[in-house]
Amino acid sequence: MESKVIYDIFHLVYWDWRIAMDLFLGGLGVGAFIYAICVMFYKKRDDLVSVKVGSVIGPVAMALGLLFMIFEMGQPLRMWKTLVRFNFTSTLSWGGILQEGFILFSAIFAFLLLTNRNKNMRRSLGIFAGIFAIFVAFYHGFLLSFVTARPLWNAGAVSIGLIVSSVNTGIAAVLLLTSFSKRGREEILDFNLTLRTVLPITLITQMATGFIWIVTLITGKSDFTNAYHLMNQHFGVLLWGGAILIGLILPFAILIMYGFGPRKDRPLPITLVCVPILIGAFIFRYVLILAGQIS
Amino acid sequence: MLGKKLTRREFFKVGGAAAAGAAGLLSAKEATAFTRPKTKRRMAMLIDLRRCFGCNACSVACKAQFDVPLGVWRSWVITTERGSYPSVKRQFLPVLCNHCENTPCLKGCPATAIVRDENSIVQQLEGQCVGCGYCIQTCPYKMRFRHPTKNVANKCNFCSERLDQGLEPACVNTCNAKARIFGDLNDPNSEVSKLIAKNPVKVLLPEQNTHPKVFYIGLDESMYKKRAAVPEGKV
Repeated sequence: MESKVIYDIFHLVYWDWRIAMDLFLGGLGVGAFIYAICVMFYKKRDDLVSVKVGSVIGPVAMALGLLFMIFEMGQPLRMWKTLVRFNFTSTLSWGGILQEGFILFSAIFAFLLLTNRNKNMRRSLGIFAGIFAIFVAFYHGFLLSFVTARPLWNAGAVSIGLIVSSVNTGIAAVLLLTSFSKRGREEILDFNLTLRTVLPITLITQMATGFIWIVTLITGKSDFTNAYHLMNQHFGVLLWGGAILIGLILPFAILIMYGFGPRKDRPLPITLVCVPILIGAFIFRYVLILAGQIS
Repeated sequence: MLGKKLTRREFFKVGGAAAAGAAGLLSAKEATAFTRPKTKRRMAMLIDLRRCFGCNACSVACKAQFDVPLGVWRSWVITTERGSYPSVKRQFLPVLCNHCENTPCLKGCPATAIVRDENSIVQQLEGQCVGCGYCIQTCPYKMRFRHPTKNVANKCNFCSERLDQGLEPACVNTCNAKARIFGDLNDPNSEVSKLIAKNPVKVLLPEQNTHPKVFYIGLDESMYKKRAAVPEGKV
């Protein structure tokens, strides 16, 4: 016989858009930095515009994201307590250390790069900060999936989706800012691998993880199914229209239309590819954070 | 130029190894087996649902004891209806912090602002809480909230202040039907230990492996499973 709840208490959603912004900017920062380091090693040059842009975006975006998170906290002035009262079993504690380490090392790297100082140390520092960036990307991916109480966050593929989305948004941000300068546009034209291979692969991977995530929710336990229906009921338009259509399908379609890369005779509208990726990634995190808390 | 040449294959090898390492490190703690924390006493609550008639005196006593602001609750009674007219039954399920022995909130708190005291009661240290809200997210029972005026996490503490004075928790003290029984699980002669030994008891969400210390007699799991995540229009 069916039971129907007729009275219960619901404490309102706690994390709001600021946490989504923290995850978005943090992911974007580490993605941009990892991309910059990859380009630096692949092209064996560190005087490229995209390398400089990526290495600056990294610490700046991460720090901005942390600011959003701090403003969301109930007691922001007690933030220092997370350092002195470190909890070894807390994902957040480790994440805090990783993020602070990333900001520190990537900022020093960016400073040395922009001022063209200490080339040998710069290279090692770049690798070191890059490793921090990879760990932070994983932290962002797994922070939510460790919360077994929230089926929407706990469904396997979401962590991989967040990691891939970090790389996507990082690349999109670097390409967008790089394309504002003439030298940057020439670089993009010259270095076609990103638009021809890397970005399409990350977009397809994200679509695949999104598909797995939704299938897991639909076919999973009743908690998962309920969570999926609640998400669709309250955030369906944002999820399907914003995160998936604008954030994934639209940029991928534009890449296909332009043959996966710019040519001299047909310049690819970088803004049309990158801006939807950024908007979609933020919407994805927004939906994930808010819908996750009502399930 | 950057000195030593790194081939694409080498680069992906190093990157892959780093990624796998990170995943392993992050998931290692999940695999840790549960070991019951050793405390002097293990205070627990048993709620006999056969006796509860949904008067909500416990909810009100809790509100009064802690001056809990409007809109938030440390303890309340979920009410469900079963069947259809004329054979309809109303059921009541008092809920509160389960003071889990495998405690997700305690493990996740980045400021060590949640501790287990010598009575095995999970305590929120208000002075240390940074208000990040991670504990609110990790609680599978949704029993935590942000205190609207203190801006820190808040929840039931089994009325520790009353226990220190030799009193029972306010909800136990006020229960007309004597549906709530409170005591030490480490003491085999306590009423709660005896009743748990005698009766088939259940806990909420056993699949979460949290080892709660709030037990129920006569619990119909569907009452809790049917709990809606959020009412219409409240997002």
